[in-house]
Parts: sequence; structure tokens; C-alpha cells
Amino acid sequence: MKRGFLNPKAQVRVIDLSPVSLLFVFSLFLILFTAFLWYPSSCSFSHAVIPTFPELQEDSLVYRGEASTIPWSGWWWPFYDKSPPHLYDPGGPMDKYDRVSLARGQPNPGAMAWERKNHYTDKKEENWFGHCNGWAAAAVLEAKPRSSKEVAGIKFEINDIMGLLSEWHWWDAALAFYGSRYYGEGDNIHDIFPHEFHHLIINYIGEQGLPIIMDIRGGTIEKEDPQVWNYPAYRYQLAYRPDAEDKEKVHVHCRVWFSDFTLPSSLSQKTFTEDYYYWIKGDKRRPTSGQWETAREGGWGVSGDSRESHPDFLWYPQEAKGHPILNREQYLEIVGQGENR
Amino acid sequence: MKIIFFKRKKDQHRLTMGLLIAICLFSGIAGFGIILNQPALGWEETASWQVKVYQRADHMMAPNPPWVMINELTMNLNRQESGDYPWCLCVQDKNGYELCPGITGLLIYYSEDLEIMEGYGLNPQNQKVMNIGDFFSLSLYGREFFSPQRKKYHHLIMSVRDRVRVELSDEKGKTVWWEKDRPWWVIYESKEPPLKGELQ
Repeated sequence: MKRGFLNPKAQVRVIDLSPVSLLFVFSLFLILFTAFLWYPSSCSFSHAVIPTFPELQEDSLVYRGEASTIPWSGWWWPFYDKSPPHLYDPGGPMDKYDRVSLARGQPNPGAMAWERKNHYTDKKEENWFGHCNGWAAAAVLEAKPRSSKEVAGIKFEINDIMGLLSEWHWWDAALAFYGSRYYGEGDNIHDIFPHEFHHLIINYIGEQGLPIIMDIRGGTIEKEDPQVWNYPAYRYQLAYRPDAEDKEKVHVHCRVWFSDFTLPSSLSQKTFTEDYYYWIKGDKRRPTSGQWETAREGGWGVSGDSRESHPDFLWYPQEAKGHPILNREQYLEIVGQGENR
Repeated sequence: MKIIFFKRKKDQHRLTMGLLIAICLFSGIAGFGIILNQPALGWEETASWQVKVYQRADHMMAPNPPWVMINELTMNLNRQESGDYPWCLCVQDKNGYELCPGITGLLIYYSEDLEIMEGYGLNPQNQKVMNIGDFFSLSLYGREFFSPQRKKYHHLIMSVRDRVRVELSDEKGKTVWWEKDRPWWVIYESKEPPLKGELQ
């Protein structure tokens, strides 16, 4: 820093301008003012001087998008008895639900027993059965429960409320369903097709600002052992690379952000990303054909194979109208009608 | 080797004539039966009907997912005196549930020969927010669900029955069962997406 800059005398010298200097400053101001007035009507000037990115300005959703709400992380409440915690555990959400009825002098509704009978397994090959669809649907449709609640003297912790929400929403229908579930031989293992997937994430997450749920276990990975693992997706980013030989073909690298499971003991928000590689043809917003490929084929790197692993189907939930054992009024009294949503 | 079908010329003529008459009679009866069993070709008056729609819940984390009800649709058909198209079908869920995210109603316009010409998805405020083509591509309900008929499928056995099976899409396994006296199909089945509609 120059010392003279802070010297008051030096400042006085700058203000004390000669008539020639004043004329110069005034001329400069006039030129700039004229240029400012002229600028909007001069397209050629702006294009020549200022670099523009027309594609980004026209349709940024073909590059990135984010839902208006981020689905909350929760537990998937497995059926398998060796993967606790479960909804049917003594002291768990269904047990507490029963105790509310008992505390009111009503007969035991038997929610815990029902859960144990219907959502229980001790077979290792069934260890993936659980409530991921219920949690994912609740996380999309319901606001995150933020506080514990006492009903008829029974205290429901946040994770108890999340558990009841996951059980109720386990029965949700899919208001929209895209692709088809892979059950085994005879079903198309490459479905959902990438041009449909591409259009849907732009439409739901980008245009409508809605999260969308995906069964991320699709592709050849589930050929031997078809399973369902639902997670809500809330953000995407897309990059494009033209094909060297086919002018119509565009290679796409898609990164999707998902809300993740979290143990009831922590309840912290967890997320993860998945990268998908595919090519498409047609309009970037609504492509007409496409195929899953490897990262190498698209020129994106050496690791990553979306033929092996890609979403199997996408869906959006509709809240269940009822439940085989839970009473809607009592359920709403516990999970909240308003304060938690 | 020489094969002799008829030994005498007189018998040959008699048998040939008999066969021809039998074929003509059979074809006539069968044809008449098929014509009688054609699905109704047009709507003759304003009508209202309800359809319960069930879905196999493939999204569930379970190996044999159950069928769950997704919508109870109320369909109101109106003959339009003015406007570009003669028929308008209004579709809503009986309980006000959505038909697709953000869409709680549909307006579908049909030509005189019952082809879908135009339509809109409506939001809860009854504003037109989606083109019907976009609705068909984004919702569980394809164009076939709202099409009275596309392709007639006949079988000789059906000539004595009142129900006619209409195949809408071989690829996606979409079919409907049609009854002569009904203004709409009675059962809709779709393999992709797994959906069933039942007229009430």
C-alpha cells in the first residue's frame, strides 16, 4: 500500500483538477453514457463482444435440476429377524401403537402381532424384504417429523413416528409407474430404457420440482437375484458428448442424488449419488431412443457400466387409503395431521 | 398312382353341390353371428359410469406384491351441440384423488367415430395444465384406456356370446372385454403397466 494514498494532502491534489482534466473526464463520461444508451439496440455489438451460451440460457433443465423438497432419510425397517430394528420389536412403533389403545381402555388392536405375522422372515434369502417403498413414499409425501409426541401417556420418538409413516405408506399405490419390474427370465432386463429415464428425471425433478422414487437395482446385476431397492431421487446433473460417428447419437453422463437410509439411532440426513451412462437420440428434453452403455463407450472414463447397473423402474406414490390393521384416526393422531406435515 | 374320389359322375355332382350349400349356409350363419356380436359402434346418448382401477404394486419390497386400488374413476359423457368435436368425456376420481401427479381431472374430446381428438389434464382448480398426449405418456392410463375400441378380435366361439374381447396392444398385453349393451368396456387389463379396470 502506498503511504501517499492515505495522505489528506494527496487527496486534495487529486480533487484539484485543471480545466483540461475536467474536460477529459467529462468527454469520457459522455462517451460511456452514449455507449450505454446505444447498447440495447445494437445486437451485433453484444454478440460480437460478449460470449453467450445459448443452450444453457434456453433450457437449463437439460443440464441440471433439483426438486423443491429433499426427502428425509429414514430406516427401511427390514422383515428379516437378524437385521434390527424392526417394526414388530417389543417397544417398537407398532407395540406403542397397541399401547395407546390399551391405555384408553380399548381392546388391543394387535398391530405388533400383525406386523410379526405379515412382515417377518427368518429366511436368509429373504433378507432384502422390508419397508423401503414405505419409507421412500413417506419421505416424498410427508414432511420430516421433527419432534417426539405423547399420545395417551405413550411417548413416540421421532423414529417411532417415522416407523408408523413407513408402515402406512408401505400400502401406497404408485400414482405413476415407469418401466417394468424385473421378476426373472422372460422380462426385459434393460428396462427402464434410458431415453424414458432421461425424460422422466427432467420432467419430474426439473420441471415439476418433485422427487421421484427409483428402484436402483436394475440391469444385468439382478439377473440371478431380482430384488427391489427404492430410494427417492431429488437432484440430477447431465453432461453430453456427441458421438464421433453417428451425428444423431449423443452420449450422456447422468448423476443422480438420492436420499439414503439412516439408522433410527442417528436420524441424520444422508444422501448418495449414482452415475449413469447411456446414449440418446432426438431432442434432449424428450429423446426418442437410447441404450445403456459403459463410461468408456461414452468417453467419460474407465469405470462405470450402466448395462450392469441402472434403475429398474421409477414411480411416484399415492397415499394409501387404508391399512389392514392401523386405524386411520389413531394413526393420524400419532403421526400428526398438520404439525408433522 | 391314380386316386379316384368319386366313382360315379352323378354322385360327384350331388356331393359337390351339397358341400357348396353347406359351406354357404355355415358362412352365412357365422357371418351373421359375428355381425350381431360386433361391439356397439357409437355412443347414442349421454352417459355416466364408474370404473375401479387396480394396480399390481410392483414397487413393493416384496416378492409377490398385492393388487391395490389406485382410483375410482367417474366418467361423464356429454354430447356437445357446439364446439369442434361432438363428444366430451369428463374423468375424475370419485374421492378427488389424483390421476397422475398434479392432475385430478381429464377432459377428452372425441370425433363422431370415437377417435380421441384432443384433451387436457386438469389441476385441482380445474385449470388445463397438461396436454392429453403428455398425460397418456406420463400416467398409468394409456390412450387405450380411454379408447372405446381399436381392433376387433373375433373367435367362432364368441359368436354365441355377448362379450367380445378387444385386443388393444399385443405388445403391452392390453385388452378389454366389451359388452354389446354397455357404453364402455367392462374389463380392462394391461400387463404393462400391470393394471385392471372394472366397470361398476
